[in-house]
Amino acid sequence: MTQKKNEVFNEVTSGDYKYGFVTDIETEFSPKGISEEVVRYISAKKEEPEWLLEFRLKALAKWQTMTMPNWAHLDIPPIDFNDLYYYAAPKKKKLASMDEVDPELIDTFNRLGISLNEQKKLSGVAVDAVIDSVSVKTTFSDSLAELGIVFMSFSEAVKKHPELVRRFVGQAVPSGDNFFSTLNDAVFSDGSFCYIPKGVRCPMDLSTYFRINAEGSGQFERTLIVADEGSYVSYLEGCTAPQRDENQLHAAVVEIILMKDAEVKYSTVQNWYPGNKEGRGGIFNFVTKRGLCRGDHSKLSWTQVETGSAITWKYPGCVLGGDNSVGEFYSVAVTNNYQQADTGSKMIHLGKNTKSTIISKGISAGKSQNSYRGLVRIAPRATGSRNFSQCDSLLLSDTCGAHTFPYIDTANSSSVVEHEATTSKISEEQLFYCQQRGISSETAVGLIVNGYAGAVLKKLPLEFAAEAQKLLNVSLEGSVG
Amino acid sequence: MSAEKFLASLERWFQPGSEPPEMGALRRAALERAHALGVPTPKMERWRQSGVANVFEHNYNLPKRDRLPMSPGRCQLDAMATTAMHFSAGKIESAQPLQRLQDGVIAGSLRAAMKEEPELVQRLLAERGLDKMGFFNAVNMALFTDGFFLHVPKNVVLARPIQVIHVLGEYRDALENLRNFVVLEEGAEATLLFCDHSSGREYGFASSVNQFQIGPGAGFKLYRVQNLSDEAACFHQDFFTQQENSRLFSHTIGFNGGLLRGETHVDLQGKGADCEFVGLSLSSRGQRMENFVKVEHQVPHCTSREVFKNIVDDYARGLFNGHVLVHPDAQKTEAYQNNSNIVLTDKAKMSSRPFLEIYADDVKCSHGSSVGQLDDEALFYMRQRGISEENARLLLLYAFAADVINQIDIEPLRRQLDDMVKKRLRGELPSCEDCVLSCSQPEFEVL
Repeated sequence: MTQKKNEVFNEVTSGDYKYGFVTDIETEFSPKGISEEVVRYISAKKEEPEWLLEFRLKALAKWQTMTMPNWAHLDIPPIDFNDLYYYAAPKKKKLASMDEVDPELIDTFNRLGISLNEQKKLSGVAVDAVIDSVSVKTTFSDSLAELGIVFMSFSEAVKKHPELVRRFVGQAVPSGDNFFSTLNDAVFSDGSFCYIPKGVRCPMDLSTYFRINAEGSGQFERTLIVADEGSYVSYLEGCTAPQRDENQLHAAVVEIILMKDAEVKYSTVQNWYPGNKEGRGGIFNFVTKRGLCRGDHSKLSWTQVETGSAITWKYPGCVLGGDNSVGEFYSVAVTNNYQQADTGSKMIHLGKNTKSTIISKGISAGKSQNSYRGLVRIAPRATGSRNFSQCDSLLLSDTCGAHTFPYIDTANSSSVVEHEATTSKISEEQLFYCQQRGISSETAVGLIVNGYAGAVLKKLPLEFAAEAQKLLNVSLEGSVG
Repeated sequence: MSAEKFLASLERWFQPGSEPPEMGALRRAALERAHALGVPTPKMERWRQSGVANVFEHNYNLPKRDRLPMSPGRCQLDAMATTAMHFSAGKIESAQPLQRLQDGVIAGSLRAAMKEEPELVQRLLAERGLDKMGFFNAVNMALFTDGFFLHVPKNVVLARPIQVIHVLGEYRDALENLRNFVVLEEGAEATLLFCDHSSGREYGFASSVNQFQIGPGAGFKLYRVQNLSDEAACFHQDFFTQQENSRLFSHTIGFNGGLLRGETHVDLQGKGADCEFVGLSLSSRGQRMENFVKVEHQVPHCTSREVFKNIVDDYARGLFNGHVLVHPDAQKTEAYQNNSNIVLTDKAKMSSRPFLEIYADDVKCSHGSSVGQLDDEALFYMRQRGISEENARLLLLYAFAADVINQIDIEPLRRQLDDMVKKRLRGELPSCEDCVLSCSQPEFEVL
């Protein structure tokens, strides 16, 4: 059986990354490196107002005094921040209809399985596609606008709704928050902006699709979601990148602001190019995601399936400011070959009777390192708060690592915090049980892994859940160590 | 005083005296190591949330021999037959510093052992390289004045537990560094009781570094009772190495102390080694109690268990930092880590960091951590039955602590500590102006 296992394992680990193609689009770059000129160049390209340029320059000045954090359980090769293009954009002007879009681009998105075409209404998902640094196409904007929902690229929003953007940007992730978010503050190029007005329940899932295409470039997009009183939205995010030998940097910021009674579901299926099986290439995914539950009774739910990226450094968090607000984090992180992930969640309880749940399932295979790192902080005035965290790790080979680093700070006498974690491998008994019943070892492992991750997968919206399940199977099926 | 002044003062405090030259060289190297490392700050991962900064705020005095804090002998555990060793003002209090007990067991002052058993001591000093030393370990190596030394030869079972009492001096801003060495050869067994006390109301800082070598098949039990004044700071660092099939049981209760920090490092080096750590910290007022435990599973088939409990009252702060590290190939490891805490007021704070770092796949590792309060329903149940709220609270707190106390397998010690815990929970156990172990007599069974 061991022989068989190894075969399956090899097959899986040598499996190709199917999104690894490069699209040949004419691309416009900023000068290489990072400096005040580059920041001004980006700002000028985007025709930004003065206040945004100031925001960027302030961040740049702050960033230049910061050093890259080294506390994560990651082995990050030195990054030369001056050897990157901070702005790369497909060379075309804004378009009015799909007909004007570069056919190469449409082809790219078709190959990725994303419907940019508004005729494909059946899929029922409004998409904002961001390729390299620029938002290419936002679908369904018009029908959403009827409900008062603003869903457009960030730079468009800066022009059309400057008061909204200016009011909310930097609220959840303040300028200078951390090394990578500050870098993003300075050089972010585009992203999505979404505003759901009072009492509106967004009728369809909103989605952003990120793709890095150009060589030697980093992607720094920024997503800002504002859910006004009593509104609801489910937001999806997906990402891929071409297969390259070099490492590429992705440092995004996602900010979500929730008013009273608002609810936001944010789901991510992250499938950046993970590098090849020798660990060459792949995306460095250094992302800051944070939601601010400002209003009472608001609810924010993060769901993520992390299968890609050479290095993932990501801690989606909830600042539970409003009384009775709720934060949730559901995560499946899969690492294989030489991938490294240090991911988890931050739950900051500030309001009374706030609740948070963290369910994290780590799966490591090959020579990968997979860490959960999470913070639960209960402030003195967050009386009656509740947190439950569960972090499980599954080890599929004897050369990988699975780690758990929880931080729990409690500062009042009426809150309850519970954390538990287990680490184990797939039990021989479970495998044997399945095989006895005629289920092949690969299928059995697939079943067990899907069952293990089931608690998280079922939190994903339908289409995403199917994609995530497929991804899990592709990454791991049969890879019993 | 500041961190810089503390570092600068190290030179002044450094007095190698009449030791062999290689010892002087070792101390000098350790001093340089301390300078190279710099003082720890709460910004460092290991020291996050720690109250360490206060330690550098004082202008320390080295131990003075002329003002002995108390007459030795009052710290006996009356009901418990132990061989007692007293250390105060950084030195052993005994006319016969190094004693030869039964069957070739050597116990007593490290300073005396350095003269009489130089080879053994050298082996211990060389065990941990300078490059691995943390700041307080290096400072301790440079400045230690004495310590407890125990050597138990092959297959010898130590008949009576040895009680090592360290009383922090009564003089202002005392700085006392002790280094304790314990060697259990193959198949040996021993039980130790470490008691840390302070005698005055003045601020003082006691730092001890303890090295324990537990040979193949040896069994070692370590009990530690800490009861210092609210002004005192006490750091202890335990380094255990365990060979195959050895057993270790370590039990710590922190009753009082301004800043109590315990660091435990265990290297499980031989297959089949087993270790268990149990701790209880009872903090109130402005006390800070910190526990740091790192267990390294270096070889297959080892087991480790940790249970640490904190009760944090008033505006006290508790910190637990557990770290289980399973090396590659350390298959069939079983590691269990549990940290339960009760926070009693809105000003008290508890931080818990139960870490797992695992590089082998065929392992069973789990950890749990909880922070909560007394169960309202249980309180209500008892009040319904005519138990006053105060007593009901005490009973629940006692029940929480009893798990830890009940693991003590020396009955007289268990009874005495049980009584002390009850008194402590009622707020009657002072952070002693005098040694508590002499004033505490079991007097009641029910609260």
